[in-house]
Amino acid sequence: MAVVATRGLTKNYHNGGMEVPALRGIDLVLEEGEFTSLAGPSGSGKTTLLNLLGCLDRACDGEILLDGIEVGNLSTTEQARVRREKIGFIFQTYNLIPVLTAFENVELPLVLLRRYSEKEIKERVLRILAEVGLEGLEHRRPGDLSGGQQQRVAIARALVKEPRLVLADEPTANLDSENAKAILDLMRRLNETRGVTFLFSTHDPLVMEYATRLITLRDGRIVKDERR
Amino acid sequence: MFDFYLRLAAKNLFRHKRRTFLTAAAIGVGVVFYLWLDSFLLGFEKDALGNILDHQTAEVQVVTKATVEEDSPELKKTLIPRGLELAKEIALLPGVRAVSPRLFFPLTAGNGLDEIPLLGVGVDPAAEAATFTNARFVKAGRWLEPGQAEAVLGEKVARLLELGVGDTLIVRTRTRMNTVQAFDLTIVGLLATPNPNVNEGWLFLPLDFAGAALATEGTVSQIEVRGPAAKEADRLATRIKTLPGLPPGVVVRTWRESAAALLAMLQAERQYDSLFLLLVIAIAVIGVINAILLASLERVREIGMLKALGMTERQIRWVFVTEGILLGGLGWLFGALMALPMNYWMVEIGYDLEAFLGEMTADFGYAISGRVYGVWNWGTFLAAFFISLLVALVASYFPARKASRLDPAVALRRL
Amino acid sequence: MSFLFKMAWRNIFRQRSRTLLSLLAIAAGVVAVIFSKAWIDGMMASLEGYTIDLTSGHVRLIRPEYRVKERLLSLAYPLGEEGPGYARLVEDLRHLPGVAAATGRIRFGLLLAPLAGEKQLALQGVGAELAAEDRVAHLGRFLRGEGEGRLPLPGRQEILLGKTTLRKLGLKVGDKVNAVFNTSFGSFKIATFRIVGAIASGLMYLDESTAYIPLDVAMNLLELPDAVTEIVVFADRMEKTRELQQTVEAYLRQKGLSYTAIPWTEHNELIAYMEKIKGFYSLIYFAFMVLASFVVFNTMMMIVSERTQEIGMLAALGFAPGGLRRLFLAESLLVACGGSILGVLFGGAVNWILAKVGFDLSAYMETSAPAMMLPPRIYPSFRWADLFFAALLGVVVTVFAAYLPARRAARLHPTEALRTI
Repeated sequence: MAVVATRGLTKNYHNGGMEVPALRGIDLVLEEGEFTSLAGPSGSGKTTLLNLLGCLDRACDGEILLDGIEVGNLSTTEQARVRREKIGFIFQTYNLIPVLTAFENVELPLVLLRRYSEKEIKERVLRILAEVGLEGLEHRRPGDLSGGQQQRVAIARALVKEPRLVLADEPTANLDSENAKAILDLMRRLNETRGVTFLFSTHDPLVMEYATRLITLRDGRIVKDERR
Repeated sequence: MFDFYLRLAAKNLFRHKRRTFLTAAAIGVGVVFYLWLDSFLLGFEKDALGNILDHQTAEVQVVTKATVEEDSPELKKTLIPRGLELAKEIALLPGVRAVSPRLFFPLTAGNGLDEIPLLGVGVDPAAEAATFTNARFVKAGRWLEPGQAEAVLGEKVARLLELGVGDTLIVRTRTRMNTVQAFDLTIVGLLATPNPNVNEGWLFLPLDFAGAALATEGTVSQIEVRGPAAKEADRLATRIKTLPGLPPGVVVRTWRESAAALLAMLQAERQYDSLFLLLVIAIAVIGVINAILLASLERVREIGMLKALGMTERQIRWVFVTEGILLGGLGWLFGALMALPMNYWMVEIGYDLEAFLGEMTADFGYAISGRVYGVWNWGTFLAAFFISLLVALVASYFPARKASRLDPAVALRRL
Repeated sequence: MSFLFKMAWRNIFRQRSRTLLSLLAIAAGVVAVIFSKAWIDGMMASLEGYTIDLTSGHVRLIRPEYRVKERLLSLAYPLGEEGPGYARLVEDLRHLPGVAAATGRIRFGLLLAPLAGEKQLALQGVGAELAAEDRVAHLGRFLRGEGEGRLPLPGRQEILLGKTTLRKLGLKVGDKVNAVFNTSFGSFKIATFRIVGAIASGLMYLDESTAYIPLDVAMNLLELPDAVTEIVVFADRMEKTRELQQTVEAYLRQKGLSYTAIPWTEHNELIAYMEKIKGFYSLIYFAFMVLASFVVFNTMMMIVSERTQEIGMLAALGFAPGGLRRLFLAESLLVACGGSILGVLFGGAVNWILAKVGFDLSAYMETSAPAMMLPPRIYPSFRWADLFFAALLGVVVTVFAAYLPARRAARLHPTEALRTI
C-alpha cells in the first residue's frame, strides 16, 4: 500500500488581497521505502507540499491519503495526533529544543506517544542515538553541539518513533559538503535498514544523487518524475 | 540629538502597543491614586479648617494658661480677668475685623425627663454674629438677643430632647463659686451649621445672661479675634501679646495651634495613605524595569547594529532611558486623564460623608458634615508628572545600562 | 506531564533577569496584598472587637423606642419593666441554644466630682454585672500594666474609672468620688463611691468616658428594680450573629415581648459603613495583584514571540494546541509559585514583625471621639490563612494573566511559526 497518495492537491496563499497559487493540482504517490528528492526553484511549491503532507497546513482542494486514511479535513488536534504518530520532520535549521539535551530531544516524540514504558523509551533513544553516531553526547544541549551533530539529533528525533513518513526540508543546506555527505549517508542507511519512506526538498545536486526517485516541481506542478 | 532619541523611543514603544499600554497603566494607577488622594485630603483639610475657622475658633484666640495646659480645668481657672474690657481693647487694634468674647461652661440641658451634657457658650449676639457665621445657620426661629433667658442650639439635639422653638429648656450647671445653679431658657433658634461639633455639642446663650447666672463678673473664657486673613494671624497675635493691658496667665494663640490636633491627624492620614502609594509605585517600578529589559533583550541584534554603526554605550543607554522616560510620561498622561473626570466629580458633586456615615460624623472627630469636596490643585498634577518621569528614569537606568554593555559581536551573533 | 514541567522549568532559566523581574513583580503584588489586608483587617478587627465586647455584643436587646434616645442615656425605656424581670430574662437567654453569654447593662448619665474641690466631669455610667463583663470583654486585662486595682464587687458602692478620668479629676485608686445623676423618675441624686480600679486600655471610651458600677447597686440607686436599659447577647463566634439574632427573636416572639434584637453589624453607622466597604477592599487587593501581573503578561507575550520557531517545531512533533497552551501555563505556574513563595516569605516576615510592633495611631486620638473604638496603637493582623490567601491570589492572577499569551502560542499556525527565523 502507498504511504502517501494525493489527488488534485491545490493550495493558494492570500497575499495582500491577491490569490497566489502555490500548488496547482498535485497527484503524487509515494510507495513504502522510497527515498525521494523534491527539487525545483524557489517558490515552486516544495515547502508547501511538505507542509501539506506533514499535516502542518490544509489544502484548498484535493485529497491526501496517508496510510490509506484521508487526512485533509482533520481538526488541528487530530492533525497533531497524525503528526505525532506517523510523521517525522527534519529541518534545515535543525529546530532542536534548546533547553533539552540531545537525549531529551529524541525522547520527546516517544513521551508524546505515551505508548512506551520509561525503560523502553530509554533503550530506543540510546539505540538510535548510537545509530546516528552520537554515543557519549547524549547529555549535551544543542548549543554545545556542532551543526552536523545537531542535525543527527534531529534525524534521530524524526526516526525514533518509527514514523511512516519522514519529511525533510533542505536538511543539508546549512552543512558543509563533508557533513552533508555524512548526513545523507546516514539517512540513506536508515532508509535501507528500517525501510522508512523519505521525502526531502533540496537544491543540492549531491542530495539528488542519493535519491531513488527524483521529482521536480515548477510553478506548483510536477514537471518531472523519474525513478532510478 | 535628544529629538532623535525621542522619535526612536516613541517608535519603539509603538512597536509593542499592548506592553506599552500595560506598563503605562501601572504608572497611571499610581498617578490616579496620588492625585485623587491629594485632592480628597486637601479638600477635606480645607473644609475642616474652614469649618473650624468659620464656626469654632477665629484666627487668633486668647485663653488662659489652664485652658491650654489642663485636661479639664475648673471653671474659675479658665476665666480671663477683665475679659470683656480686654476684648474691647483688642477690637481697637489695627487689622482686627471683629472680636467675640465667649464664656464656655459645661452644663446639662434637659426637658424634665431626659437630659444631655452640652457645652454652654455665652456670647455677645452681635459680636458673635460679626466674628462667626453660626448666626447665619439658624434654620428655625432667630438668633439670640442680649439680656434674655434664651438659647440657640443644634436642631438634632433639640429633636433628641423633643423640643422646638418656643419650648423651655432646663439647664443645670455650676457657678464660678462652684455652687449648683439651675435656670430655664427659652429656645429661640435651631442651628444646622456645617460643623458637627457646634451642632451637636454647643448651646448658645446671651453672654450677659450667662455671666449673671454664673457670677463671672466681667470675665470670659475665650476672646476670639477675627483678623484680616489667616496668613496674618501671627502678626496679629504678636500685636495682642504686646497689649499693655494683657492680664498675666493668658495665652494668645493662632488657629494653627488651636487646630493642631486636626492638622496632626491630617498629617498622619497622609502618611498612612502614602504607604499604599508606595506599594503601587514599587509595582510600577518593576513594570518599567521589565518593559525596558524586554525591549533590550528583544533588540539584541539591533543593539549590535547600532554599535556597529558607531554608537557609544552612553548613546545606547540613552536610547533605552528615553524609552523609559517616555513610558513615565505616558503613564502620567493616562493617570491624569483618568484623574480629570474623577476630580471633576469630586469637586463638583463631592463625596457625601453623611450618606456613608449617617449622623455619626461628629463621632469621627472631624469638623465636617455632609459633603466633602475635592479641590483642583494643578501643582499636584505637575508634581505627579515629574515624579512619574523620575521614577521611570531611575527604573530604566539599570536595564538600559545592561543593554548598552552587550558585546556587539555577541549581540549580532545571538539568536 | 512531568516532561511538560521539566521543559517549563528549564525555560524559566533561559533569561534569568527576565524571570527574576517576573518573580519580583509577583512577590511585590503578594506583599502588597499581605500588607494591606493585614493593616485593614487589624484595624477592622480592633474596631469590631472592641465595639462588640464593650457596647454592642453580638446581638443587643433594647426597647425599640430606646434607639433614638440612646444618646440621651435615657432611663425611660428599660427592659424587664413589663413581662419577665431582668433576672428571669437573662437566665432564659443564657439557656437559649447558641448563646455563649448574656448580660444586662444600665447606661446612664453621670457627673463625677471629687469630695473636695470644684472639678467635675460628665461621663457615661454603666451598671453592669462585672464578672460577666470580664468574661466577655476581659476588662481585667486593662487593670494590669498601666492600670491598677480590681473590678467593683456586687452590692458594694464601688466604681471603676479610666486612667484619664482619674487624672482629670486629680484622684487615685482608693479615693472616694461623688456621683451626681438622675434616677429613672427624674429626681436628682448624689451617691459616694469608692474607686477600686483604674482602666488603662488606650481606648477613649474606657479611659475617659465611661464609669462602671455594679449592676445591683445601679438598679437600686437609679430606682430600676430588676430592669436594665439593654441586654447584650454573645454567640461563641461573631460569624454566628445571624443565627443568634434569629434564636433571640424567636424567643421574644414566644414570650410576646416587643423588644428589638440588633445585630452588631447595625450597631452604629461606622460599623455598618465598614461592613459595606469590606467588598471594596477586596477589590483593592485584587487590583494590586492585577497590576503586578502585567509584568508577567508582557514577559510571556515576549517569550511566545521569541519562541515562535520552537513552538512550530513542537507542533510538528505532534504537540496539540492544548499541549502547547499547557506548556506555557506550566511555565507561568512555576514562576507564579516562586514569586508567591518569595512574597509570602518576605511579606509574612515583615507582617509578623509589624503585628508585634504595631502602628502608632495616637495622632488620630486627639480628635477622635469615644464611639471610634480605636486604640492608640493598631496591630496589623497576622494570620496564616491570609498569607495563604495572598499566595493563592498571586498564583491565580498570574496564571490567568499568562493565559492569553499561552493561548496565542497554541493558536500559532505551525507553518508560519516554522517560517519565522
